[in-house]
Amino acid sequence: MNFLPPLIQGLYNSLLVTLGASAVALALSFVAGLALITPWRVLRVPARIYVEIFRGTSALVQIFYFFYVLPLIGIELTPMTAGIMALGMCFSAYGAEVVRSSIQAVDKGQWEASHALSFSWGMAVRRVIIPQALRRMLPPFGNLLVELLKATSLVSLIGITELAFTGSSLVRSTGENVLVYLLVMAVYFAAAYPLSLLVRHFERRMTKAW
Amino acid sequence: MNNNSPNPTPAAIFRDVQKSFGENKVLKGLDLTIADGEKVAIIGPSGSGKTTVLRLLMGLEKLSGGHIEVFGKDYVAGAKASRDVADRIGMVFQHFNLFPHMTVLRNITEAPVRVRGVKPAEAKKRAMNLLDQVGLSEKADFYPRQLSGGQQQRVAIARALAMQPDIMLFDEPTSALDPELVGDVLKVMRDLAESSNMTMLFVTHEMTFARHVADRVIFMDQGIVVESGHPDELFQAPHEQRTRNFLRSVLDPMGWAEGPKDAVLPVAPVDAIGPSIAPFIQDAVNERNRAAN
Repeated sequence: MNFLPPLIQGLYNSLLVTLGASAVALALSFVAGLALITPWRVLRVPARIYVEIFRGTSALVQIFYFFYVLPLIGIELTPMTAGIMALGMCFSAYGAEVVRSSIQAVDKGQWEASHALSFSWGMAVRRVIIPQALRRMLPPFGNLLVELLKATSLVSLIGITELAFTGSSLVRSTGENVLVYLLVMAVYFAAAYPLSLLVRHFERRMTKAW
Repeated sequence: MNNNSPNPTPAAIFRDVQKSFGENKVLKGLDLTIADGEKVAIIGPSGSGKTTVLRLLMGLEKLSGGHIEVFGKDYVAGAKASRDVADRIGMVFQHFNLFPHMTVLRNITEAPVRVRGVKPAEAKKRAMNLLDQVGLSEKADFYPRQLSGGQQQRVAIARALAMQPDIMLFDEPTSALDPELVGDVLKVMRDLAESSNMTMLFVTHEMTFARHVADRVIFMDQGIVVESGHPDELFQAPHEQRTRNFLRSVLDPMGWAEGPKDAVLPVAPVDAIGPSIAPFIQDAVNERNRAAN
């Protein structure tokens, strides 16, 4: 029996969740990460609470919460949407810390020079600070992306037929656990490794520029 | 130096200015008035608070006590200089603080274009003029890390000038430079001081520069102005013992000078930074700069 076609089909869903969740995570990482370094407490405090909650609780339980609990207050989500939102927000907590620490690692003199040239805070962040911080963000963001791809296996528990789910059902129907799980791992690796390479490529390109 | 009759409103007035960092009192009741167009050198031992004076003016630090008035605008304890005050002030930093991800040209045009809304073509034209003025027009498309420290600092001066400030602050602009690169930066600043009616404040350890470029020299120690006067007076006949001690330690660090220990030592002649800097030295500097690129 050929296991690969169903596994590839499962991988497709895994990649879909990865793509959606990473988009959510990237956007929220910047929103929360920038809020963490603003001079304004009203933004810093909520951002800090958000980060600590999503970083400090289990990703699996967050997924369950989005799928099973939100309907109770009238927010009905498909498994796909719930999975993408939950993983996206969970990973944005880590991403926000990456954004914050990379920005804080930029030399303080850059802020001072921006101020001396009359840049507003937002303009300094956009034109001066973030372009320099991006270089530092890239490696940890690459790590998170690979982590996220592997964490998508969690959404199998709300019934999405992604890679791990497909593998488990194949094992159940055929009993070939050694072969199937080995194949599942191989497919995860085949998806994750190019991601690592891609990130490293971007890293190299950014270091070359200046 | 500056022969224009000064505007009656002083550029800046410090009244009983205090600044603490935690327990550490850096400025302890500083009084100082800077006339419009005046070129002032601030000297003094490290920790005397001279850099803090500039940082307060620039709005990089909050005032802990007293008043600062810039062109008639007042601000007080707990506040930073407001934006419209900071808009009229430019600053050159000890470590240059150029934007490493932008070319030299963009370092200079970025603020005029983004903040002042100057048309890019116009900003570029002005930037090229400024680069010419600091002797670096051929470096416009280089990145800062491709330049020597002295060249970076001259770009930083051009960048600050591009915003056409009324007051320029120089915070130890040559302290981070290799000794042979100091001269080019000093000369750019001297030419600027002689040709413009901007108000300029130099925090510096270059006594020769202070002696020959400043209209007035201020000696600070332990958070106050100890003595202030015309450079000839302050360098040749300082009134205060602390000033004498400081000058002596700077001008004769090894204690080799003969005569009584509180005698006043001469500051090097103007030639040391003048156009007549020995030609072969200038050639060597140029050669080195070429090689560095």
